[in-house]
This record gives sequence, C-alpha cells and structure tokens, in this order.
Amino acid sequence: MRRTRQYSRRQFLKRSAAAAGAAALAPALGSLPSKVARAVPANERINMGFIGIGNMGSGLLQWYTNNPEVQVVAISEVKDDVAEWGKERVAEVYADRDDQGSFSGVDTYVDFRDLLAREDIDAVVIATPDHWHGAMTVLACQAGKDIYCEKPLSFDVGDAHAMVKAVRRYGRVFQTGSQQRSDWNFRFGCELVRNGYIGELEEVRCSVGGPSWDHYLPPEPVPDGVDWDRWLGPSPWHPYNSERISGSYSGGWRLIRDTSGGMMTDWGAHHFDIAQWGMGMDGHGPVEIYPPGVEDHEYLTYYYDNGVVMKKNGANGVLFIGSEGRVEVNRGHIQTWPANLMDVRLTPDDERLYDSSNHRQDWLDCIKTRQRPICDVEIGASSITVSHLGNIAFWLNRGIQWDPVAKEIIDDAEASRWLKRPKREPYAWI
Amino acid sequence: MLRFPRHGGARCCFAAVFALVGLGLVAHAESPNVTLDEAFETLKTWEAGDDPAHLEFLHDYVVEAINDPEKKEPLEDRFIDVLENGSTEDAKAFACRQLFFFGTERSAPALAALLNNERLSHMARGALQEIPGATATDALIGALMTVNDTQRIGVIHSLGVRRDVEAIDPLTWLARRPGNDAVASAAVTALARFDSDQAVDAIRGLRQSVEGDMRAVVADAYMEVAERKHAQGDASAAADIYWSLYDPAEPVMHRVGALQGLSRVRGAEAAPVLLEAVLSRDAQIREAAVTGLREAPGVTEAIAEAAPEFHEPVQLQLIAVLGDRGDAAAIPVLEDLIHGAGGEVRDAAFDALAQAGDASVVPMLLELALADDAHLRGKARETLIALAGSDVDEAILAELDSLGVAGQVALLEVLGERHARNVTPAALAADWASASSDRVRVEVMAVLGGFPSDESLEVLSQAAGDNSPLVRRAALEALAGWPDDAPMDHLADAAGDAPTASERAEALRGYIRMIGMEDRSADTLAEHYGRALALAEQSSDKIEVLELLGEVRGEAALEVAERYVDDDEVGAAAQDAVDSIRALLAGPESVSASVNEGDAGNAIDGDASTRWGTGGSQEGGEWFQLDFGGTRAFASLTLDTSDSPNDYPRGYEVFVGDDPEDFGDPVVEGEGDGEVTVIELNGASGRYLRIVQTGSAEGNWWSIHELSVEIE
Repeated sequence: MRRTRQYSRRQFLKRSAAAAGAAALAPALGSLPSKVARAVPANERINMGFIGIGNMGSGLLQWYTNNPEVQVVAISEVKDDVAEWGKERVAEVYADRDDQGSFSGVDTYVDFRDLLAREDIDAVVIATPDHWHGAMTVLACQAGKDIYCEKPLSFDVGDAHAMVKAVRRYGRVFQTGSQQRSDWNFRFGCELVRNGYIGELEEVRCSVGGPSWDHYLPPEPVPDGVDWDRWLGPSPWHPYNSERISGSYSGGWRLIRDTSGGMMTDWGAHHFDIAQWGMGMDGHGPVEIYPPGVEDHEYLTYYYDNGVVMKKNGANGVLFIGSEGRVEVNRGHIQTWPANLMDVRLTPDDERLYDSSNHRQDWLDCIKTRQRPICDVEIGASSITVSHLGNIAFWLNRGIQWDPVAKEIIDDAEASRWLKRPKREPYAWI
Repeated sequence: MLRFPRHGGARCCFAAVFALVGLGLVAHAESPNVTLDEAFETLKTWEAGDDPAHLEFLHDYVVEAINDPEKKEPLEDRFIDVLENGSTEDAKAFACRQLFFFGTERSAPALAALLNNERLSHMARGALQEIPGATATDALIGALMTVNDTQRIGVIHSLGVRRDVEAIDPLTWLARRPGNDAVASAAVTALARFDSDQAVDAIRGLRQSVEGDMRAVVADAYMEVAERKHAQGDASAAADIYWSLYDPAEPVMHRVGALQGLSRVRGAEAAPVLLEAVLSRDAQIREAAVTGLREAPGVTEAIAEAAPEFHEPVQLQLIAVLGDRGDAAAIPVLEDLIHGAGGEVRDAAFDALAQAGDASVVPMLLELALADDAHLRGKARETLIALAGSDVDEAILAELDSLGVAGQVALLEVLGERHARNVTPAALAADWASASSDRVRVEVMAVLGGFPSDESLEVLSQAAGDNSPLVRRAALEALAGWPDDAPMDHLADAAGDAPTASERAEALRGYIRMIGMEDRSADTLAEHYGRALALAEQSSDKIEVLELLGEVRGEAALEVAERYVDDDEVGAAAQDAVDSIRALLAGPESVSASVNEGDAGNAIDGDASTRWGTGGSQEGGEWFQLDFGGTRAFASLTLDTSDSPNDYPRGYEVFVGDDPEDFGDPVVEGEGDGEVTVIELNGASGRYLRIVQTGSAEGNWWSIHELSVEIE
C-alpha cells in the first residue's frame, strides 16, 4: 500500500466535528504532510504514555519526546529510579518547547492500568519484557489506545492471537517494533524475492539465536524502589535475582524461559520476520518444524506449504536462495548473486512492498490516517509464531506439524501445551 | 538422544554423557556420577541457590522421556512423589514445571492438593490446566470454593482455558456475585471462551445487570461471542450483538467495537451507519468509522457515491479510503472529482486514482498530462507513473502517435519513470527509434537504456553511430549505464573513434565502469585498465584508472602502473598505484570464512566501519582464513572489533601451514581481549593462516572489523 496522504489526526477530527456543528472546533485548512518537519500546536499533538522505559523503552521515550507531533504525558515503570529518570528527561526536552499547551509535567505510575485509565492519552508505547506484552496490549486496546509494542510481539502463540483479536476488535493502530521492515535493504531484498528476480524461491536461511531455558538463580534482596511482583506479572514466581530483571542483551530475562523465548524470539522477530516478508507469508506460516538432530536435520528447519525450506543458521542475516540467484540482507548489508540484481528497478507489474523509511514515524502517520502500519499486529503475530514454534520444537526435541490457518499444532497435545502457557494470578487477564 | 547445545560447554558434556548411559547411571562430567535416584533425592531438599546440576540433569531426562513412552510413567510417579512427600517448595515448583511438559490425569490429585498453597498454587494450576480428564476439571472447580480471591482468579482463568462445560455454572455464579470485580471479571472473560449457548445466555443476562467497570468487561465478552458466531457462519447473530452494543447509551469503546464488528459482518449493509459515524462528535467513533470503511467488504460504491456530498475535510478522508481500497469501482467518482473539484480535493483524487485506477484512465490522464496548468500537469504525470499494471504501459504507448513532439517526449519520460519493462523494446525501436524528431529519438534512447534486452542493445549500438550528435550522445549514455558488461567492447571502440571528445569521454567512462563489473582475473583487469589508460585523453580519467589499477593484486598490474610513473601529469598517481599493488602483493591473496564469505574482504579493506561477521551467536568452530599465495613468516596478528565491542572472539586457535586441509596443531590458542585482540605468532610460517573461534557467546556474533598481520 503506497501512502501518499498524511493528515493530522486532530485536524481531521476537528474538521469532522466542525461539520457536525461544533463551531468552536472549526478547523484550519491546508494541512501539511506529517512527515514535513514543522512546529505542531500543542492541541494537535498525540498524547502518549510509556509503559516500560528500560533499554528499548528509554530509546523510544527519547525519540518520541523529541518528536514535535508528540506530547509525552505519562510513564508507567516498576523501577522508581528509572521512572524518575524518564520524567526528568522529558521535562528537560520540553523546557525548551515554546508551546507548552496545557502540559504540566509527566505523571508516573507503577500500575500501567492507571496510565491506561487516563482518557487524555491517545497512544501508548509498550517496551516491557516479553511476558507482559500480551496483557498490556489487550488492556490498552480495551482502553482505546493506539499501540507501539516492542518486539518480540508476544510471549507465546496464545498471547499473539489475543493481541490480534483485541487490536481488530477495537480498531486500534498497532505497530510491532520489528523495525527492519522500515529499512531499504530489507524491503528491496524482499521485493527481489517476491517478484521472482532470483527465480523460484527454494530455501531461506536465517541467523537467529537459540531458545531460552530455565535458569536456577539464587535469591537476592529486592532493591528498594522495585515492584518485583508486578515485574514478574503473569510469569511464574521466582525469588528476586538481579539477572532475572536485567535487560542485558547477552543475558538477563531474555534468556530465561519464564520471561522470554530467548534469542530465538529476540532475533527471530527480526530475521524470521524478514523471511516471512520475502516469502509472502505474512499471516501464514510453516507447516512442519524440526529441531537440529531430529530426522537428520542439521539445523532447526521449517517447511512451508509452497515447498520452501527455511533453516536457522548459515546467513549473514537472511539469505534467500532461488533457482536463478540469491539475495542476502542484514543491517547495513545487502548482497545479490548475480551482483547486477542490485540494479533492478521494479516495473509497473512488480509487487511493491509497503514503503516506510522510519518505523516510529510510520506509526504516528498511521495514527492520523487510521491505516495499518508496516508491521501491523497480524504481521508481528505470524512472524513471532515462527519463533515460538521453533522454540517448542527445541524444548521438546521433536518435530511438530503446524496448521497455519487454524493456528494449531497437529496431533501433539504435549506440544500444544506450549502454545498458551500458564499465567500467574492475579495477572491472568487474557 | 539430546543433541542441542545449550548453556555452553558444560551442559553439552552433561547431556552427551547422559545419553550414552540410557537410564542415567552416570551424569555430569565434572561432578560425581549420579543416578536418577540420587538426582531425585537431591531434588527433594533443593532450594533456590543450591547447585542446580541435578535439576538440569532431571530436566534433560524429562525431555528424553517425553519422546520415549516407556519412560514417561515411571518418571511421572517420581515427580508425584516429590509433590506428595515432604519436599521443599522449590522442589515442588520444579516438579510442577516438569509435569507441565507431560503430566497426565495420574498427577492431577497431587497437583490439586497444592492449589491452596500461596506459593505454589499457580505452578500446580499451570500443570493441571493442561491435563485432560475429569479429575483435573473437578479439582479446579472444587478449588473455586476453597482458594483465596487471588488464587481464585487463576483457577477461573484455567477453567476458561479448558472450557469444560461443567465449569459454566460455577463461573456464571462467580460472574454474578457482587463484591469483587476482579474475580467477576475473570469469570466473565472465562465464560466468553465457551462455545456454549448456556455461556452466551449468561453473558447476555449480565449485560442487563452489571454496572460500572464491569460493563466494559461484559461488553468485551459479548464481542468475543459475536466474533465466534461470525466465524461459525452466523453473521446475523453476530450483527444482532453488535447492533445492541452500538446503542448511543453504551460507553464509547463498546460502540467502537460494535462499528468494527458491523463493518466486518455486514459489509455493504453497514455502509450507511459507517458513513453517518464519520460525522460523530466523538473522535473514537469517527476513527472507527474510517477504519471500518477502509476494511469493510463491498462498500466502495457507497463511499464513492457519498464522498462528494460531504464537506471537504471528510471528503479528503473518504477519497484517501477509496485509494487504499484499490477498487476500480471508485474510478468514475475520482475522475469526476479531478475534473470538477480543485485544490486539495482534486490532488487527493489524483492520489487515490494512482492506487485504484487502471488502463482505462490513461486517455484522461494523458490529456491532463499535457495541460497548461503546471500543477495539474504534474499531478497527472505523477499519477500515470504510479498506475499499476502492464496494460497501462501498452495504453500509453498506443496513444503516442496521436501526440505532437512535446507530448511524445513527455510520455516517453513517463514510460522511463515507470520502468515499463513490459513495453517491448522492439515496439519502441520499430515505431520510434526512427522518428523524425531528434528530441523524440533522444527520449527513446533514454527509455531503452532502462530495458536491458538484446533488442535495446542493438538499437542503441546502431544509434551510437547516428548522424545526429544528440542521438549519438543519448545512445552512448544509455550504453554507458547498461546494467551488465555486454556493451563493453562497443564502448571501448567508441572511446577511441567517436567523432567528438565528449562522446569518447562518455564511452570511456562506461568502459571503465564495466571493467569492474565481473569477476575477472588480475591479468585480465590489468589488460583492460592498460587499454583504458591508452584510450584516456584527460589526465583526470587516467588518474581514475590508475586508482582502480592500484587495487589489483598482480604482477601485470604492477607492470602497467610502472609505465606511467615518469609521466609528468599522472606520475604521482601511478606511483601511488605501484605502492598499493606492492602492498597488496605482500598481503593475502584471498580471504575466506566458514560463513558469510562474501563479506570476508571487509576484514582487510582498511575500513574499520565495515566488518566480516558470523551473522549469528558465537558457538565455536567458526573460522576465518587468509591465503598469502606463498609462504610468509608471521610475527603477530591483530583482530579489531572496536565498532562492535562485544563481538570479540571468546576463544581462539590460530593455525599456520601450507595445506589448508591439514594444518596440524594450532600454533597458539587463547581468549579474546575485548575490542582489540593481539596474538603473537612468533615467526610461524606458511602460506595459509586460519583463526578458529572456539568460545560461545549467546547473542554475540564474532566480528572482525579490521585484521592486520605483521610479517617478519
């Protein structure tokens, strides 16, 4: 879908309201495309709340705080010092804004539901650990918020399904934080594949990490200012340990099975996502999955119903292998065989993929137009399901068969248990 | 057998040793031998913070047992024993976790006994939730009356996941019970999961009785019911639910959900209410209406009919929706708006037509593309360029002969912008390459340059000898930009004998560009660059060629560069090339790697911002190799990962030798030192040098941004 118009959400809303008789809200015509840098009046900004401002959340907070179309008004965080840092950071930036509007500072909340209850908030950014994404998204939809949710989209397949349903049910604009889709390398590489420039696609290789595992860590005192129970949320209870709560990219909660799918989901949300994009499998998925060592599979291997085989490993990022050529893509890297595929210019008959050059801005634009962003929830769900199925195959050390339409594992009740993992009370909301 | 590597080397050894001994007489390579009995004994007293080795051993055994039916039952008995007989809470939590993998109805009583345990309730429930059979169901239903309110929320959730009809009555009772909204909400949400008329009746009844925040919970459950009805083919029942929720007295998010639902289940029938809703006073309703109109099936005609009647701001949104729908049914109204409206509305109609239009709109757009109004002309051309479909190209081409020169030039530009590969070069060549107007023929040449085909090449090659300098130049430009080296010889010839200096220079630039296109030997490259140097008339061109020559590692290249060292104008550049080639000859002839070999050159390109990397976590066994083409004695090796500070090798072995198939023992081994790793090689000699990464680092690649070798 090519986007050629961006109208300010509030301009549209106000114009419509004016037509309905609300003369006091009469619009100013002549809207500029939202991608044009400009000063945005305070009453036209998108009021935004942040849920989780740790590693990824802090970057998102700073980017959106500096975006003139946004007004950050609230932060929810279970670590007091982190919340305070975020509040101060936003205040510093806004101190230099000429037009403060009615903004009177950022409010902080420990319970994200208090943030969602604020009617003045239009949109939320969710950047918590994976095990919280599902519940927070569903509740945010019910509260009428648009959502940017960090990748990986979900903790398990069941959460992903619940997220899709909630976003559709309440018509929310949802962006999955798999930002490689908004990078030219990946789009062009996928367009080459989708349009047959490497011949018939035969194999895809993806370099993603391994699954998460159970970790047995010693108890440590809960630091002051940390709400440990709320951090754990729906995941199984464990005594506090600094490793469990750490957002380190080489350890921490990302590698622990109770809070994440490991590097399989962390990187799968990027590279499997691109593989799905290139294969034209958004909303669909593989039909058989085998872990390494089972039935002579050297690597985790996926079979798709169109005959394409996808293997974990063996690529710098994602490598598409066709009958007449190959294309490999990663961040800052694209290589084609033959080399002159790089010169391809798409024809009018070629399929053009969604063109976004800025993942975060794309979400803002779509909030205004009510279009689906480049990595809509349904795309994020089908991509992360690939990772989840890989994990299940690893964890059970056996091949599984998947029905990508019914979204069910076929004839394996034990494997199916992992599609929707148990949730701890009182956070068992979805 | 357990084959996957995890948690580094120790766990791999652990699993491998265990696999050798079947039922587990021996376990950890670094611990005393352990039996299954001993591991379970350790488990019973285990507390968080104790050595987890035996738990890891048991978990590995669980994974093996779930793939071996004979082992399951005795293993389940052992975990039941852990739950029932005086183990620590941490041990019981571990047992619950393992029973989640494979527990059967036999485990249900032992798990059920823990549902009242404040610490373990959720762990037991998690395992119980997935166990089929009445024992688990009865246990969970029974627990509803005995657990505290917090635990009750969890039990209700599990009953909803299980969807045993026996749970509907107690869940309905809990949903209706006042006093604890959290419990009642959980019950309503659980009821919505049941595909049961009884559960639907319960939810419908609650719609009449609940107040406050519970209304939203019940409405959400009701929408869940509607979605299920729709999925089962009962759109009418679903629509009834949505209509009841769209009542103006309902809270706004109920109405939003109802509008979304109506747009899905009613399609065209929902168009009137959606179009009415775009004028709602409530922003959420207006947004929902736009979303519904964009996604509802069969509403294009209704939107198209209504759009012109709305005031401009709403018109703009609806026109955008028509474009996004990409439905040709919108074409007539968009054409009317283009002709009848102005300003933003007309521009929006052009944009929408670019998405929804087809070949039928080409004549209209062609007319506007030649209009006097520059803005109108620009929008029309922009729309023509964006229209999808090869039949559009044919339609444009079919109109060409009815136009004057200016129109022909304009439309050929459009075809070029469209990268209209489907308009055959033969057609263009036959009809237009011999056109009387040089301007048209120049445009034809430019367009043909975008069609890498034999026909195009033939036409362009002929045109490069045309009588018209404009056409000759255009043809040479197109040939110089050709995507492969097919016109290389033609360009080399033209660089020597074209009539004008500018044409010769254009041809030379194309020739030089094509020299580097293919994977040629060093000798062939030297030959081509030597020819280019001989053809070059400008010093700047010679200097450019010498720079390229300096990147060729070969004696022939050196010989060519040395010929120009004494040249007054390019001598310095030639000396630089000589120095560069000599440095290359002293360095590796080639580099290779276990993965991502295409990037291996990045490690020795002198640019620390580029890198070679494994593209995946360090797992051990990845290698990077240099071939020096002859024996060298190596003093030291430096691996620089400064721009990816966590990608240093966690361990390494360096091999040196003359046979890459049989290096023998490593000359040195060690661990990376962070951003820069310096490895002393103490004069080890050989043609090949290979670095093998031996460590593991989950989440971190092994990268080399720059590699340097000191030769003795």
